Amino acid sequence: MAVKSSKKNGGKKLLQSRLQIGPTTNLTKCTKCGMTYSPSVIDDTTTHKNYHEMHLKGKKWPATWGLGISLPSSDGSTALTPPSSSSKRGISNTKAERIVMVRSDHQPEVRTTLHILDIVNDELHAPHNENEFWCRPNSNGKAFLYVKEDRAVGVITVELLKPERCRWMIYEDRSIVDGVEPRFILGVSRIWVCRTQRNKGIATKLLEAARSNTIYGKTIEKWAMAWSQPTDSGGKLASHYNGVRHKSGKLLIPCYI
Amino acid sequence: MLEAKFEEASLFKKIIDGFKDCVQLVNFQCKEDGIIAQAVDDSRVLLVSLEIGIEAFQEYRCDHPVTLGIDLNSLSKVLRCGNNSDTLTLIADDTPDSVLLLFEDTKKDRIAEYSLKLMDIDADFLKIEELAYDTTLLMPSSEFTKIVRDLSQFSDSLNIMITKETIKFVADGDIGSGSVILKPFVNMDRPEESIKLEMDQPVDLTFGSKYLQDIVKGSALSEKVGVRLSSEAPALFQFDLKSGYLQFFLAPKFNDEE
Repeated sequence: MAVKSSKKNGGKKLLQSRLQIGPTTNLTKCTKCGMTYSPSVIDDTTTHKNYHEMHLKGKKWPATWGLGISLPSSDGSTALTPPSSSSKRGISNTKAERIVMVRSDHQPEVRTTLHILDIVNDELHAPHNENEFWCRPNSNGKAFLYVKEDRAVGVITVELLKPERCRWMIYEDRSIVDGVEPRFILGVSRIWVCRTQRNKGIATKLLEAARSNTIYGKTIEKWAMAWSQPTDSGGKLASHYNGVRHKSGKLLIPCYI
Repeated sequence: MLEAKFEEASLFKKIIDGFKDCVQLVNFQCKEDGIIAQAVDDSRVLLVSLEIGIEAFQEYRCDHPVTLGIDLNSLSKVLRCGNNSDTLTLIADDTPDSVLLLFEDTKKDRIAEYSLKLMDIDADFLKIEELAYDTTLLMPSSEFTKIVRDLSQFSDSLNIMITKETIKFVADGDIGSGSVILKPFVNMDRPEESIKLEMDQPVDLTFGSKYLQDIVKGSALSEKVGVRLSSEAPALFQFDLKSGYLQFFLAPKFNDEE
């Protein structure tokens, strides 16, 4: 049995107007996180609170979550750490700072990481729907987090690339070089570090972790890492990390589309 | 020093009950010529403006202007402690961090004293300009309350349409619809039952029922309610006190396509 309700107000939707007293001029810009919001709107204040905390300090990350990862030693070989459950030998777990790989079959870890990426994407002005490659089991990507004092303060998501997506980008004017088809292996989809932890080499450590832990037992060469539409600071990081000076004098960044 | 004495505690109770459900934190500004207060609800749709003139008090004294930042939930708890026929005196010093409420039953010599902590409320006081309205309606507040409560059952929007000689309230919702039509008339014997209409322009406005239901809580204060309407401007609903008033400014609803 179906019930059909008649249209309200002949199908017209009524919109509640607001009093024009102060609220329009009432926008505040948070001096710390830079978000503009209206303190009189409840939605705004909660959004700001979430964003502010996350943007400045990262997100809480329990000690037992994520697969601990040790950084490659200087000769490039990967030292594998035991899983976090065998904590006797596992040193990475007890340290104040560690890098973990998000286990795609652990829902709470994936959910929290997705929440972090929501805010990251807002800040990078990036699309919100590019998570498939790391959050599904047996997919061709990974997400790594930098955890400091029980907070996830940095994140990187990487995906394995098909050859047709790889391009060179000219750093100066952000233009794609046509006609050349380079071959890169690993694409950096997102990389982000919360504001208070920037300029401490965390992004580089995340890149190194992704390089040596995405394909099991294999470290991907630095030159085979590509970037996805870098922001200003992302472009800087990319140019230092694996930018290449072309014979024309221009700086090229490996990227993918 | 502030000393404001109401002949009956019930008056202050009615004033506070009249708007405590739509706003919570309110600054009461006490000045030489009475107490004023203003507050906007969280959604910024409804503005409440209160003025209690000296005449409304049995005794009133305020040497220096003081602002009392009060949580209405807490205040109404204290007000429930007093009897309606008690006298009520509000007492505060010049830089108060609390306000004293003194209930006195003069017949029984019973005195009850309550102290309420004040709050620092960050709110600007707005100067409300006297607006020119298209239409002014004065009607019994009980009648207005009944119409609002009856029609609110049908829809979350209530339409008020005023043409030359007709005042029409309409609600159209999922379960059905309802309308009440009134005509202005003068009752010589019982003037409080008269309906007075002054119309310059016909108006057709729609308001959120839940806000109207909040507004009619002020009808305990006065037998009459003044409704002033203009198209595309906030409506004013006013309950007059012996001296002073309780005003509600309500933003209307508009069609989405505009």
